[in-house]
Amino acid sequence: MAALLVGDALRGATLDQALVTAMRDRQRAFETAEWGLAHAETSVRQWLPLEPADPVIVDDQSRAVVTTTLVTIDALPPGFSTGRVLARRLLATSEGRTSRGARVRLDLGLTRLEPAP
Amino acid sequence: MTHRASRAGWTAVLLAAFAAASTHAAPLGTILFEHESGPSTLSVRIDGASIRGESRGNDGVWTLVVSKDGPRLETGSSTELVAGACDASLFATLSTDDADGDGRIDARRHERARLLVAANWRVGQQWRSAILAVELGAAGTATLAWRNDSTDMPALGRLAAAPARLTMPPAGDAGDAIIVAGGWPRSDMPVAGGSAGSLLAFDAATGRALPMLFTTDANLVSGVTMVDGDGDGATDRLYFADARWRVWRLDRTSSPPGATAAFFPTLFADLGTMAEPGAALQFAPDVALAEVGAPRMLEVALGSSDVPGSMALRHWLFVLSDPLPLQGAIDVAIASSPIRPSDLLPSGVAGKADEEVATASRGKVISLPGPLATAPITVAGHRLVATRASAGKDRCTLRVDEPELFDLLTLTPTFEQRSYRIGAERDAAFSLSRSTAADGRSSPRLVCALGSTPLPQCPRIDAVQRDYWVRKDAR
Repeated sequence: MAALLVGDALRGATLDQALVTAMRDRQRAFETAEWGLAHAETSVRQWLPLEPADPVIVDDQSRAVVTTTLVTIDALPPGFSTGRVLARRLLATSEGRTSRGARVRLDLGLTRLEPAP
Repeated sequence: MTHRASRAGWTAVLLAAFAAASTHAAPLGTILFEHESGPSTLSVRIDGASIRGESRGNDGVWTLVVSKDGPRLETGSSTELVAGACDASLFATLSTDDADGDGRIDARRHERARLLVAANWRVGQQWRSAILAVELGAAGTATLAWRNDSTDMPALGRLAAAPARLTMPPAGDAGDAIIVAGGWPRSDMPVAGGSAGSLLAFDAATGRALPMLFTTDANLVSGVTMVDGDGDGATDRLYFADARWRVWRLDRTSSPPGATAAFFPTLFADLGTMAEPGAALQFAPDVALAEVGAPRMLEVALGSSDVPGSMALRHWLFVLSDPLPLQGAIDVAIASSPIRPSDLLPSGVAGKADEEVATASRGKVISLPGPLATAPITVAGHRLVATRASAGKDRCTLRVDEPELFDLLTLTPTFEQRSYRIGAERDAAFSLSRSTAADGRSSPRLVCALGSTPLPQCPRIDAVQRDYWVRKDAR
């Protein structure tokens, strides 16, 4: 009986450990995806060309695949003269991946104001 | 719409300043345009009757000179920049041409990198005018794409404003028109009636004259402002003023694309009782979407400046409110009577009570310290207005880069006024630019300038904003 109880406890501990590991892995994927979004926002701020798929290596076990796409151009952004300023609405998508297979996808909507020609 | 500029190309730009299309072109500006071979920059300088384009490395230098025989395009750097600059009978206005409305002057696919020019010259007592499209080559070289002289257009007057593109869906030259207000009368002699009160249209691809968009019994002397209200890339509205201080609005109807006549006119405001002798509403109205409020509201700001050869005693700035439908074309005129001066609240005491009254009124009227020097501009909800502080200076005694004094008026969203006196370039225009640091990386800030003078009074603009954040995977 005692042996059964010990065995059950061990199985429970192993399960808990596996769940914690999976949660930790998902958390790592989430943080990696966040890192990718920060990378995308920095690129947009620096007016760098939008890359179709830009892999961001965070460490040996996690990486983010970032895509930034143009959604629309708003020629009449609130509070700005039409024809003088336009707003480029962008969508940055970042998928954080870990070597254990966890994946988390985050979307970030960005607006960049630009002087019109 | 894809962003094809190479990183090296972007980093080469020290200051990419874009002058907005207005009745006065900026005296100095750098146009960034794109070709299949990559981005190019072109320094453009306008002084009276000369427009000089100079690309980086001097591989493309050209000058468009308006002479007594009309405009001509010359290549090479030997042409004097200021030829004819001191002759008030020769002048030109300039605007850039963004064919697809993507915010870039480019020559990719079906587009062409172009500048649009209105040129005026006088033969005896008669004025002659021409509309020209100057096409930019990959190295910044220029060729004449098309030209339309006033001899083909009896209604064409002495053009005061720069041409602008009216975009019809789908974007591109097909169906698009180049619009210019008919301007002052063609003759220096007084004319009764006259037929110059016309909004003229030219085929964007060929320059061929199209049916007029609008005619009225007074000269159309102001620039024209186009509004894309629903973000589909097509022009939905036009605002402009005539010589009797009436403000007109044209709304696009649901007629088939390509029909430039498919615009419905409305007398938006009649400010004639405030007209000052020697003054006119010459600059293109500044149109901005209000930051708050439902329904969506456009604020149309326009002010008076001196008629050439005149000096008015008083000048005014009008800020007029106009509701904007949410989507699509407008089939029916919005039923409302024209705004009159009695509908406007004189700007004065700030405070809550004043704001409440302003909300109920149809706009504001503000006394200006001098004639408007350029079209107003709205930046982050603040409206900037520049007036000339020193009137009556002889153009010939000033170099183009010599500073002149301007009174800068900043109006906050609650109409609180702040005044500054600044020295900026003669014939200055408001512009917005983004600066690039020495390491080639762009600043995230948009810089506001009057001519080439940066304005610390301009509200700080954060060029990138986070709109939303969402986690898309299943947890």
